[in-house]
Amino acid sequence: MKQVGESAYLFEVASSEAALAVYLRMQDRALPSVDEVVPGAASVLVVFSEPPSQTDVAAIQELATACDPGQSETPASEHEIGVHYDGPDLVPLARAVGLHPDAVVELHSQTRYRVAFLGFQPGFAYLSGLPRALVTPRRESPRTAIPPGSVAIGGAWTGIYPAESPGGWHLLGSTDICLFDAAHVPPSRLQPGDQVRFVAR
Amino acid sequence: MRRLLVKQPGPRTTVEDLGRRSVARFGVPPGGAFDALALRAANRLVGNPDDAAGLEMTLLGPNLEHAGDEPFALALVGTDVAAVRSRRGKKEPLPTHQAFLLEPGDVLRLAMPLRSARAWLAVSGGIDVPAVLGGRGTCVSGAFGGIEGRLLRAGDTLAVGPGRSVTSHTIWKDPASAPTGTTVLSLLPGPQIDAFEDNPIERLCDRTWKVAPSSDRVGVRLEPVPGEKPAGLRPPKGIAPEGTTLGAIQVPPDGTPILLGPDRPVTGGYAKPALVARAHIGRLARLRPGELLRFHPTTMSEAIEQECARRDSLPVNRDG
Repeated sequence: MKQVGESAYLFEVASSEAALAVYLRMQDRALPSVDEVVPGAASVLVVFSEPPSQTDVAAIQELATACDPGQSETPASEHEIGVHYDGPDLVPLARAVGLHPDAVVELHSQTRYRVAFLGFQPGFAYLSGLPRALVTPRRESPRTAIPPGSVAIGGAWTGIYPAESPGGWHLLGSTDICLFDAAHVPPSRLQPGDQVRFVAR
Repeated sequence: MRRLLVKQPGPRTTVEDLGRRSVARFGVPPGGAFDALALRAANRLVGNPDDAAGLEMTLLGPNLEHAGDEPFALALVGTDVAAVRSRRGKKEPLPTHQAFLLEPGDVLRLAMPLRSARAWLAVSGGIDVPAVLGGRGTCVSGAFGGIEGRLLRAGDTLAVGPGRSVTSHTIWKDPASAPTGTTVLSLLPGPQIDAFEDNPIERLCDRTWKVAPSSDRVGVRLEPVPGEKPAGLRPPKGIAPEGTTLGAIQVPPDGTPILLGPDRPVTGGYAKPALVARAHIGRLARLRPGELLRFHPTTMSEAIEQECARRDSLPVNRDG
């Protein structure tokens, strides 16, 4: 456990699955003095509204190191997302990883992913489980404007850009679904722990 | 009826409150006033609860006309530049860090250089916009909150909630306001302090830095001062993305630090060798592009003591 500033603590764990387990446990047993619990790729950040008492620190430490698998009482949602695999990076990426574009589509759409955490922009979910054959460094020069709904991969992650933004991931295709709507409950279609499958359209 | 008509919006004026909680799971940043304590102080000066929504303005303020039919109190904090009230063609300067009254037809003129990157305006009764995801502040990246999730525009009407129509003489003195000259920010160790090749706090503290023009509420970006030798901050290439905190200093591979603000992404993949102590977030929020700053190391106990002193300086709200 690392103290981050006056009122936050970072728990570093071995994997995104372990981080999810800690996050889900903390969601289930929320402390009133905690403002935010942020899962990461291999960590969970707990932000208190002000410097916490020793009792509160001990309580989150116990949740972070508990051994139960951290299954949330609310079961994870499963999403099937239709994708048009017509992205500008599909062919160059296929060449870079030494596969036919059809094989890239097959690999990408036959995998069951899990939402590890969100970040970058509202509704942007980092999906874990990308097949090893598709793991590639990000583009050397990021694009300045990526259209909303772009389905992309970057490093060991895949995800969908909810709104137009700059970005350095490889664009494999696009989807029509809305990823973020503040007026909707919940506002983000994908949340930590959810399962996702892509279906080629 | 209590409302304000935006005559001139200023370059970047938004509705802000104290931010949102439990929204990281949606990828939504906490947002809120860059210096939350300053907004709390302004709210108390006009008899509001601490979390009432006010305006945050950037570099230049807005011009606002009282377009309602009953007077109400306002307070401006974060700048020492006097605002001007136009009443029936007559202009008079207004105090800062103290409440003043606006009557129907009055125009509050803030469209002038604030000599501070940001200032905050509280209105008695608060800016009356609906709470979205537990906050009234503007989330530009998610296009919600505040006024249609965007910066104020000329012609916008701001509804004002029920509140005071008298003013008190209380003045807020901010103990963290920087003395004149180069701003100094206190640093605490960040989560990746040990991932740097050299002592990164020493590398941050041994020189003067300059605020880059691209700075905003996502982050205050620094650049080296021309003529100084490079900082020699040698960050790791990247880290497994992790949750970010207000004031954290992230260092991308090019070695130029970014000090994260309230609209930062909720997770980030750059190493964070240090972070700005909470008591100095107000100074960070006021740094203008081109302004010079220095860092100096502090300890956790000193940081907490300074933050408590700042909190104790808040005006007492007599209405509870």
